[in-house]
Amino acid sequence: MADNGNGSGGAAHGVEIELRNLTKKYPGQAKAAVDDVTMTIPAGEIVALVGPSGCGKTTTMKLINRLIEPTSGEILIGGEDARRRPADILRRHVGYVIQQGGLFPHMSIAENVSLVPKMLKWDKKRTAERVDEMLELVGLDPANYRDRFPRQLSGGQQQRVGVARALAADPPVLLMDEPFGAVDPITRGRLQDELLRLQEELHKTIVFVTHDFDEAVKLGDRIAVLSEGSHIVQYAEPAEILARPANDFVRGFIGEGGAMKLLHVTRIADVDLGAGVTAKATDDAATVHSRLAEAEEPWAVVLDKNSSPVQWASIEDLDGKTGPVSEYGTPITTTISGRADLQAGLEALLGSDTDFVPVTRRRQYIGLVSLNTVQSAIQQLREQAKQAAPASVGEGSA
Amino acid sequence: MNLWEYVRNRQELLWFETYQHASMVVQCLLLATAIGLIIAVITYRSKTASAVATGIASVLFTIPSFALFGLLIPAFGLGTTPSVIALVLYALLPIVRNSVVGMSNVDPALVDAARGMGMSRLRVLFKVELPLAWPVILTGIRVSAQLIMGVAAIAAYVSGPGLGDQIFSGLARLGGANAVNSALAGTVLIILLALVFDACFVLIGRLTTSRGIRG
Repeated sequence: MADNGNGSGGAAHGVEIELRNLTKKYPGQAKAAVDDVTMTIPAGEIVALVGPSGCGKTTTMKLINRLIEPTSGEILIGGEDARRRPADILRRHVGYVIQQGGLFPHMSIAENVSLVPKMLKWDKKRTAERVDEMLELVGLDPANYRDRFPRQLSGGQQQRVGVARALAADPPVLLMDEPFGAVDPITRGRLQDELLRLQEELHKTIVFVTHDFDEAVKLGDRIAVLSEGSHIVQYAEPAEILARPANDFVRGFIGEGGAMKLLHVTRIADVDLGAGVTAKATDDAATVHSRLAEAEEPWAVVLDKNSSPVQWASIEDLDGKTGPVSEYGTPITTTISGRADLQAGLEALLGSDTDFVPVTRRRQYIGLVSLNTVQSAIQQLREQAKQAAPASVGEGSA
Repeated sequence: MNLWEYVRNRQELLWFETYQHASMVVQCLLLATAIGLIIAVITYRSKTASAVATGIASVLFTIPSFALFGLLIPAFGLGTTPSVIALVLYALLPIVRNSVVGMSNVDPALVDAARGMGMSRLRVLFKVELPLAWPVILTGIRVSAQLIMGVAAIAAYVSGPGLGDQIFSGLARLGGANAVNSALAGTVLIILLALVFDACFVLIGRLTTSRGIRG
């Protein structure tokens, strides 16, 4: 693991975590808090552990960094037995983020972030540079925030510092225990987006504990739905769980609006989009008119020379007209990126006064999304899930 | 002779006794703080243990000071030793109680975070728990200081050092020359000393408490 590798650039990518027959039984309790859990958390992925409160998801996570010692079973981090090293040493290489960040109020932001590098005996200069780098990474201006104290920061900012602190020594693995549970929904959404952006850069292995299924869907590359005793009821990718919940327990957890959530995990670019009729700005209105008539389409999308959609041209507007088609169009006000999810596409459709919204990839037109597109995409996802191998239950589909 | 002349006349002796008084209080406080913190650190994690510790300290606290000094004579004789022992015992209660309360009030989530990032138990204690509990602990020490400032006067009963001598000898000679002046001088000086100490504690509090948790 990266104990003192390169100070800059967050170089340590995630490693695989393997839990083998992990059990935690507290003395005097009949049922095990964590009962024989076996799962593999692939390197560089975010795995969300979701379940009702008291199901043992936090306990399971704390077994990984040995804040709780297992009664039996094995934990392998990057192929190495977690119990080979003293627990304190192990934990310095496993990032840990808790609700509200868990910042120490008597230490400045810089002191908080530098704690683990200091324990790893990094020299002063390197530690100071790393602190600034980490604050920048989470979007806080180091010059402005370095010397402040936690109470001078908002909840969201504290949470960001918490993430910066956990990442300071560049651990390959990050454990996050309901980190965004205590902030308002708007801030939470923003923090989630930021975590995804960070992860695109860092490729850590992240274990994310939450009781919020929507959060799990948004963040998780995989979701493990846990019931009492940390039993894995279903362990699969979000789309699969949504399209094909393993049983009523999972269905209950998904709650109402499973289809809506499915919209959330599907990118617009990944579904079959309508091609529509397109025209160059310089095309002759009469030609476009006849092409529309032929295709039986009411609208043409006029593209500029960079293939960006700029105007709508309706068949009525073009009727009997000649000259460049761009003279008769109405400007396109709403477009959507192919990287956005179907739910955002639906939003755009509902907010727009047209039946179609042009989809772009790097500003270039790639197709049209309509209510029909969304509906058939959902049907298709359900079909795919049905045809796929039996829903992965128990130890998972990895 | 009025009080002022009395003080002027015995300036040197009074200075010396004031110094002795202050020095005894400071040393007893340091000793009591060390012992109190150790007791608190050993017991604060367990509800029973910390209850027993504060319980014992409370019992010691309720013994009338005059009686306590007297009880110490057979074992330790007269002079400085019994005085110091009695003062330390009195100073313990506020320090132990505040330390236990201060440390057990540290947010468990913070201790969890500290452990989770790889701090050893000892490091958590010195880096997180004690600094966070410090303002409360310091308040305990401050209360103890005020408390034993007065009790220290009674040390004169076992021939201990300090301003108590002025009070005791004054009271013993009531009606005699300068008896009232003597008792008054001792009392006033103790009050002044207490005020100076309190001001010092305010200063120490500001200097030793992190800006991040200062009220």
